[in-house]
Amino acid sequence: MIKVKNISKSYKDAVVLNNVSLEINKGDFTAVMGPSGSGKSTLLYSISSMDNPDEGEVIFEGIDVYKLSESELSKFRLNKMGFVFQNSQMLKNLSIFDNIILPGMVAKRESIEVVRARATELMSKMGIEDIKDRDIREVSGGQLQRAAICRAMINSPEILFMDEPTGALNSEAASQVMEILKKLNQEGISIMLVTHDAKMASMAKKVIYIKDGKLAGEIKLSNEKEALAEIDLWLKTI
Amino acid sequence: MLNTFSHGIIIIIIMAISMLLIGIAFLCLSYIIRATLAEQSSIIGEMRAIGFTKKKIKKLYQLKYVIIAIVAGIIGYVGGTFLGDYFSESVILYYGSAKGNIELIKCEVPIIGVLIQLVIVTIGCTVIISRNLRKTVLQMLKGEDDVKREGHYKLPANGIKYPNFSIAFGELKCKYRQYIVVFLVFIFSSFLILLPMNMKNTINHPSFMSYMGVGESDLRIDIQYTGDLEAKRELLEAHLNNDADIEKYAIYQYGSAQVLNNDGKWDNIRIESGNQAKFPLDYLEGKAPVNDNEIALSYLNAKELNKNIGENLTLNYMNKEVEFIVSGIYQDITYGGKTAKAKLEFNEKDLDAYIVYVNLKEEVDIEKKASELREILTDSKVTPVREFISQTLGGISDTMGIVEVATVIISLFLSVLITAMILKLIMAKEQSAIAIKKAIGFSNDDLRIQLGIRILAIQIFGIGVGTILANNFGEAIFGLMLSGFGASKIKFLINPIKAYLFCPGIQILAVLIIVTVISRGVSKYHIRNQIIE
Repeated sequence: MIKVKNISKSYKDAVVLNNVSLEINKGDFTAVMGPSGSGKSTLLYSISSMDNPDEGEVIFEGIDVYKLSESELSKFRLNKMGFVFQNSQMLKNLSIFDNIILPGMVAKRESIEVVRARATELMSKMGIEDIKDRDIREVSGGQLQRAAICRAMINSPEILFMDEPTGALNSEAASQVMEILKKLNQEGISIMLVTHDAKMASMAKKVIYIKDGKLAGEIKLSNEKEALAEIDLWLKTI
Repeated sequence: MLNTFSHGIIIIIIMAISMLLIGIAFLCLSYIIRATLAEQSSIIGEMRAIGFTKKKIKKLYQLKYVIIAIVAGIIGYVGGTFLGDYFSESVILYYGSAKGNIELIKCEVPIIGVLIQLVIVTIGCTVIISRNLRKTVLQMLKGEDDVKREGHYKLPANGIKYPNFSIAFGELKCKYRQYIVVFLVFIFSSFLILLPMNMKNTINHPSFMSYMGVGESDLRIDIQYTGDLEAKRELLEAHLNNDADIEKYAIYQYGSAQVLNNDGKWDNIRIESGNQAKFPLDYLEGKAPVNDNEIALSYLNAKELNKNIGENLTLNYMNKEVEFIVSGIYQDITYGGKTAKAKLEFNEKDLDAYIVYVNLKEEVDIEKKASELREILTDSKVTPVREFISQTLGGISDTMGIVEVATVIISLFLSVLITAMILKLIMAKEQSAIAIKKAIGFSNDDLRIQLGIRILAIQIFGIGVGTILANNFGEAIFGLMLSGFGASKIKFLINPIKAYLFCPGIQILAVLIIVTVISRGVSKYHIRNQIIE
């Protein structure tokens, strides 16, 4: 689905990504790990067309995304990708429900009734249907992050990009979010997430490790029950 | 007197601009301080969390703005001292220098102004900062209270046809407080452009004649005092009676009599005598004199003699006292604004002039007819009324022309400057929202359009309010300015194409250009910057 070819990125004199290549297939659940400042978030933003790499290509279903114009790229992102960030990043002047349906209303692919019904269904699935009219500051971090996932899912994207989605949550809320992501992946949604947390990464089917801007290692997780131990062992070898 | 008037207009407009600029400057300052404190809310919160006292933080921010105010005050003072002489050159040329210690006014009064400005800035800063510091440390760290104050908007239940419009108006509803300054600037800007424009249009219009004590007409023929005034009048009348191009005419005698003033003394009064019904004039109060014992007074005369409609007035002509009843009060800015109209038969030797007002038939070219009459009536002065107004008010009209251009430039500059400043501040304050919108699929152009819609909506509303104010309040100001010259109730004659199309158009265009340029800044805000890796 996505082919990343030799992407590099620097900020001033610091090389953040150095000639990284990888592939993401349909239905993949890829976790990106690495120390702080290693370039894992930059990789996520570069792949998801949000931050131009200095060099290299990102081919999404045969389209070189960085050859699209800025407005074409925005539409492409709106229709094909969903995003969840560490701090849910919602618009403060809209209710939770309006935040969720906004991308659906802007995309105009379906009628407003369909968008609203999907939002209600997603909220119900995430267990947050009772907070739909609330202000974003009136709900817990976990609820907000689940709302952010609903927003990311509203246009039925082909892939979800997530940057530390449980980074600001307590362990209970983080577990709930992790379960939701697992379900979504089982339903066929591809996921790429950046995390520090090996437990979170253990839910993925593949983990890649970024160090000093380079792809330092990759592991495919076969056994769900032993995934965490497998990651721990693997991390020691890098 | 008219020279005084034209300089007076400039002085009044400059004073109005200065006052409003000072007001806007303070509003801007208050806005900047609030925006800065809002942006630095979490930093201030952290400072308080690590032990900085409120007093220390207050001093820190106060110091910053007081230093800016001192530097600005010094620049303003030095600039004003040097440029003051240059700008007052023309006034000094006409009226000479003021008596007394002029250096005191030039040097010491501005210092007082600078000090007042400093005091206001200090008090303003203290109030805003103190209000901000009332929040708890946690509230400051979270940057709370903004959203509570801003409130929410709802996306339309039936879907969004034009997302940028819906979002722009929704956010405008929530964040309208941020736009108060720019709204006031747009009102002021529109008012400032329209006021001199409407003034100029009014005094250049042929119907302005009615403020010169005479009803609307096409031509004015003056027979000035000479030995054979009566003979010339007869000759003129004979010609006008036989001229097929002339629709109607009326001959007025002008002479002086004496009037008994409030102190019981006799003053001279200039009186026009003739058929007032032929070229009817709009009277402020009452009507034209019809009977032999009726007199109409100009506004200034009525005011000075303290006379109202129906009251008696004593005239002395040829040593004979005659009682008149005041039948009407009219506006007249000629002869110092002090004239009267009555059926008084002047002795030929007391006549100053005969003035004839002529209306031509519709198809007759006024200029052509004036030239033709000039060749026939060689002893008379034939002037088209439009030209007469322009000659009489030429200085004012020219001055208004300069003021018109200057106010357009100042207003546009002000609108553009404040729009640029506020747009930058809004983008900085909303950088998180901009980044989120980009992340969920809005393009840079969408976000620029949303900002543009907000600013333009405010501007169109501001222009509307400014136009209403200029047409009503401006009319009152113009009336007040002219009341000293004899016309108190002026009706603006508005050129709709200039006032309702050109003025808003040029303002909107200027703001649109600056919004297009400044809003490019949205491209630098990125969701990545909102998240610390």
